[in-house]
Amino acid sequence: MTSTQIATALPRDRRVLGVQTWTVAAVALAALALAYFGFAVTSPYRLDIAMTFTMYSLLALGMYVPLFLGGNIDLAYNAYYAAGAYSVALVGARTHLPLLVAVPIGALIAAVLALVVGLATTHLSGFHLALATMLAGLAVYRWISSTGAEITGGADGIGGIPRLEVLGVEFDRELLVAVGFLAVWLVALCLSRFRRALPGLSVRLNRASPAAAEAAGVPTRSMKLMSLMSGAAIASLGGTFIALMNQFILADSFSHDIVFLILFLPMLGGIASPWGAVIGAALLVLLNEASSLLEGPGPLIFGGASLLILILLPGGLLGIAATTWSTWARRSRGSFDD
Amino acid sequence: MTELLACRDIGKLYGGVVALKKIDLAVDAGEIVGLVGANGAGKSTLIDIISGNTRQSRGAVHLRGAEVRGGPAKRARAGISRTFQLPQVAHDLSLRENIACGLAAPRFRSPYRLAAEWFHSAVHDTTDWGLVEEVSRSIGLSGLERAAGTVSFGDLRLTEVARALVQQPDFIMLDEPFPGVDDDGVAGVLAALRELSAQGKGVLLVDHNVDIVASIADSLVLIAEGEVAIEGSVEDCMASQVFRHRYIGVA
Ligand SMILES: Nc1ncnc2c1ncn2[C@@H]1O[C@H](COP(=O)(O)OP(=O)(O)OP(=O)(O)O)[C@@H](O)[C@H]1O
Ligand SMILES: [Mg+2]
Repeated sequence: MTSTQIATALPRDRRVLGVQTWTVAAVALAALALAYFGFAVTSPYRLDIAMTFTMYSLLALGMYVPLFLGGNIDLAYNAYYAAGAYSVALVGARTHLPLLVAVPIGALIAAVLALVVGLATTHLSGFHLALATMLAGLAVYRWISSTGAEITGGADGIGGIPRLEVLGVEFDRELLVAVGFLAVWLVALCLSRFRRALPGLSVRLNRASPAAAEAAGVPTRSMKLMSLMSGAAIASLGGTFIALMNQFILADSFSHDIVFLILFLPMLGGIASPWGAVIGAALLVLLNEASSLLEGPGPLIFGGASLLILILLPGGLLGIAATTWSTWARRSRGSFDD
Repeated sequence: MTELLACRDIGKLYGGVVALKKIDLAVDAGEIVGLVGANGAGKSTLIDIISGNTRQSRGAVHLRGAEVRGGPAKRARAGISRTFQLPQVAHDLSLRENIACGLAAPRFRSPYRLAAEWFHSAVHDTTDWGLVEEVSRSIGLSGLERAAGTVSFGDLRLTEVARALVQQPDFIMLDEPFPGVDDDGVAGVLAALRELSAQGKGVLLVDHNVDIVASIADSLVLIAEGEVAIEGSVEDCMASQVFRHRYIGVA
């Protein structure tokens, strides 16, 4: 093929809202850098907000492939979150291993948990899948908060986690938030690339028509397990991050409340892109700061309000942006045509 | 010629309903077989059985002499591809993206390959978009960036044909690919089938338009009442009174 033929053969639609994904990624990186220097590092309180944002983002990004691309409702995300956090806590407080090894260990444990959940629910879908995975999450929470107390410290959790130190560099809270932001950016970027290449497309075709995906040669069962496992591994990073930041963990953080909270984030931001999960997380922490949303009945109100927004605006914030953008583009193109 | 695909003594019951009684059918390498029959004769059922989407009640399917087992994905990876009578596509994907999914058959050969491509794709897109473009152009399908939910029925059919071709199959089955497709599209699909046949691949073509089927097929198979009623070369079948009566409905 000549170079022009190759150029025309390349897909022209690698875009989000008509903008190249690289542009979106660059804007997101700039926004995160701005949030870091202009907001997060200016006070310990704001650093906490940035920490919560990072944790929510990683959990919501973990849900993106299995749930929003693949349509598999896995509600055991509190377990994957706990896997990351308890790995850091146990490695840090009970062993002399370098703390960094807790990151891959946490991801691995989360992936294995997801594999078990996936294999146990092979023939389930929809409501039954949601119920079974929720029970798995509940069982893990039960174990860490009571039955497994000898290992997990029960309700009191685990304290005394040392600071992360890599090659003589100590990661204080400011530096950890910077690394967390970078992780959020990288994961969102990777997912938006994944979504448009063959494996991601196969996940999406399988959701629309399992018969077509099978006929096209997609190993749908292995693929479902892969998406559950990689989603769980991403979510475990949220737990790893929180444990490294706080240097202690409490069992209560890993109850089911967190699952129902983050379930809404990608929908609020817009599920057409993984960046929607990040936007949803930012929205939640900002709203919470404005109105201490998550105290008392807050999560319930947040859930109700989210549902309402989702009914009125099914595309989320990105959807509104897309509509505005295309209307504007059509108008300006229209004026050229006249 | 060497036998590529064979159905031996295939029977299929849906509950108490007999869809197929006893079907024996063979397609040689490089052969294009036209499968015809009235509505409800069991043509789609036979395709479903060969592709693994439905399990036969009796009999076996052989590919290159070996019995074909397992689900549709495994059979697709073994070289069998198909389209659906009612197009099965993801409406939120573009035509290009739907077609690209056919690359799964040659690419996801093992769980290891799937895992490798899975992580690789997050960094670098190795999807063969050039092949997608080339195959689509060869059957006259353009406007690939359109979302599948917004295109005509005919273009959805062509999208499925392109997806089946991108699978680079050894044996391809098209279930009524022509309704709603314009003349350029029909000519494109026929040219693609001739090319496959020239490469020694096998084709099973189902369509109600006997003129089109007869124009390209090497042989015809007519199924009626769950059995092969007539089979033979296109000339013999078209000359046969019984064939004309049972299928075309003229004496
Ligand atoms: N899932 C099913 N459950 C019960 N009966 C079925 C099912 N699928 C097909 N049948 C029956 O099996 C018979 C064969 O159907 P099939 O769709 O294979 O016919 P066909 O030759 O493809 O017809 P057409 O030309 O209308 O596409 C019909 O009587 C049909 O009603
Ligand atoms: Mg049919």
